[in-house]
Amino acid sequence: MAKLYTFGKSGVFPEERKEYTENKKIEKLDAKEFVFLAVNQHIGSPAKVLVKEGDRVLKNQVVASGDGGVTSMVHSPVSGEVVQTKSMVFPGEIKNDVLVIKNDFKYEKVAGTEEKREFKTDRENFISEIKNGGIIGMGGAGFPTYVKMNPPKDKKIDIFIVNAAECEPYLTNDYRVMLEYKNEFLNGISLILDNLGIPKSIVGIEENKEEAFEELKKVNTDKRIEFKLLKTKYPQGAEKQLIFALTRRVVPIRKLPFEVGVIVQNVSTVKAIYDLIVYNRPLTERVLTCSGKGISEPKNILAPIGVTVSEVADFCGGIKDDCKYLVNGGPMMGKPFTDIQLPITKTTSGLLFLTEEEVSIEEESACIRCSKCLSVCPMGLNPTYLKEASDRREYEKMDDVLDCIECGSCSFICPASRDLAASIVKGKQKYTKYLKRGK
Amino acid sequence: MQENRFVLKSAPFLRGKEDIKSIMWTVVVALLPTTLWAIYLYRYRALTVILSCIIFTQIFEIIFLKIRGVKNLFERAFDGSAFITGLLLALNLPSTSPWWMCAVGSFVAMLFGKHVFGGLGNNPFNPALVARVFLLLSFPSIMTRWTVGVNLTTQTFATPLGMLKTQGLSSVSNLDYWKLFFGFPIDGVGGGSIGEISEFAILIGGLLLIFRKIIPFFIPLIYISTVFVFTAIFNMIDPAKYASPFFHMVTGGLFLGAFFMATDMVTTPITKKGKMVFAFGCGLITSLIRLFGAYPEGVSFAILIMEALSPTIEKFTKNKKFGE
Repeated sequence: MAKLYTFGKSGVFPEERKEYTENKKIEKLDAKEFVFLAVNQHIGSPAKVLVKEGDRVLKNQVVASGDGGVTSMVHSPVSGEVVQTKSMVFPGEIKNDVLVIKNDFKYEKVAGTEEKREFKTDRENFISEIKNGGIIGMGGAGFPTYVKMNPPKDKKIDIFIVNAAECEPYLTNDYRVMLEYKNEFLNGISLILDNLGIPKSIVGIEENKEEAFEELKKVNTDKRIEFKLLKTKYPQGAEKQLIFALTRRVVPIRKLPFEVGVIVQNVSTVKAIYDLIVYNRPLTERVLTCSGKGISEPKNILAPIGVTVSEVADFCGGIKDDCKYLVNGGPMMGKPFTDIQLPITKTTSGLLFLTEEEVSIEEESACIRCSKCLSVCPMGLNPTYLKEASDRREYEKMDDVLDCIECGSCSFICPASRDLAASIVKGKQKYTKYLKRGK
Repeated sequence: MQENRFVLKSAPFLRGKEDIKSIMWTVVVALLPTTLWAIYLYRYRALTVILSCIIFTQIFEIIFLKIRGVKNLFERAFDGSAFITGLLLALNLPSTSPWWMCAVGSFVAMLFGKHVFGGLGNNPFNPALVARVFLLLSFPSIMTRWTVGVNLTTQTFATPLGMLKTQGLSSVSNLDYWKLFFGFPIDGVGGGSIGEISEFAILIGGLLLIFRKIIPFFIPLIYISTVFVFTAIFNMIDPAKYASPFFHMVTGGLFLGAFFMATDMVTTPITKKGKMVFAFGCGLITSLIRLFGAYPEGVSFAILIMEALSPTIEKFTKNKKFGE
């Protein structure tokens, strides 16, 4: 038994519920008659639509792109005609323009894309390729990858961490990617090390995915890559907690991982980088887990970005009658939504169809000050007081909300069933607005 | 397919299994060894005290919840918190307590200990302790009427701590500490409150709570060790005047207080460091009262005083953030 790495005493142990999909091979879902491309799938300055109604687009053509230091672009997963731009409300109440492309099923590609190419190791070129390939953090945050890969020059990076914790219950997409695309994944890591000149990589995998850990160790030939088994605990995959678990380095409060010489990327992002660099394939598809008791056949799916939730659901045998909650992402941090006509984006790691039975809803009662939320908070915050302050808009007591990583451990553990995380996340928005007003 | 069949709910969608009810009823289970030992020693008397306290606290809980207009009245009334208050109050009373005094105590606990502050979670003091101290000040003679076993109906005795306070060290020097620890009756020595007789029984329940992560181990540990160290220092300075620290371990309400009252979630500081300071303070005040105070025992007062300081302690014992 290998040594298990973890981040200290905080965190929680939700039921893993990965058994629905962990042994299911990735199945490919093809685009249907229309694809729906959200213009903004990333964090940063908004992208602008580059095409207009009536335009014909090719597969892998850039259809939206942004200016500025932190932004991204969107490529079409099909060839066809742009028929409409419409506004849709995405999970998390985010309004977004959506390009509707009518698929002509010819899959005519932009010249040179999806062909194996020679890539000369070069840092600047590598980073600009990642930018032009539209790659963003596929673990859920959607932060543009080229920005993360390009820390300030004076920060020496000596460890590249691959976040393979997949600590969210239900989700098995990263696990399947590691099992089914072993070489692509490992070569992706080597590519990143080569181009960024990083001497070492650590892949952190939770214990419940030991098979991937063993398999990868077996086939890996790159001596620079080390595999570490993590304790199955939530939120093991939270960036700062993962860095600490694997390196014992503590990212200072409100600072980024490069401050301690580390860059972290998610499994699917690494695989996307491999596809882009070696096969010149921009990011137009991803693997996601479709699971929950509310869906007929839970699956791991390779889907084009822009297929709708309803199409994914049909591919999985349809939504069951007792399905009551739709979640974009995992059950701990995922965003709720109600509209099955919404498309999936680059950050959709999972679509959960949950029934009343598997979602625990109990009536909220008064805080009994049991202090469990304090002991599970991986950031060492005082969730119950932050909730009170957030609900009452007591700005002078709210500064710590900015350190909340929104993992939801506090709500999970609360014996009084209080929605601590939800209040604190709202408090974060209120407080950020308040700070802006003040300046 | 209609859109509105899906419900919006914010994450997380999963919750831990433990709720207020399960916590409260686990505490009740943890008090069982102590309760059973009390019933074994004092038979129907203990049973009367325990049942009176529990029944009356539950009745007053329902009445005050009703007056406050709380929803899900019965769900709330039987969440276990009122039951614990009743049981704890009973365990803090002498076996000879009349039922009407239990009723008065229950009323005080529920009204002045709990509901005037807005109910569970908002009370600054442990309701059972508020009631106990109220009864101690209101009915001092009944509250210090200690017997050895259930059959000694007429004769009452001082507790070991009482003997120490009034008759001096020599009166307790021959007591068997192991007998006191396990809670076996000793002729001529008053047992004390029905729930504080057997430190052993309390320890079993306390360990259950620690094991189930309902109370942190360090509160009873710090509280009891503080009393031990403090009394040991004075015992070393003047062994002819001050009792052995082991004597202080096995007498009075130290264990009951340390495991079941100084660990009350609602009334103790919320931070880990705060809890440590709280426990230390309790130990210090208990020792001071036992060694130099007018009362033979100081656990109740110590905990109440520290509870009053709880908000202040919290302010100075903030958690360190990760990366700070």
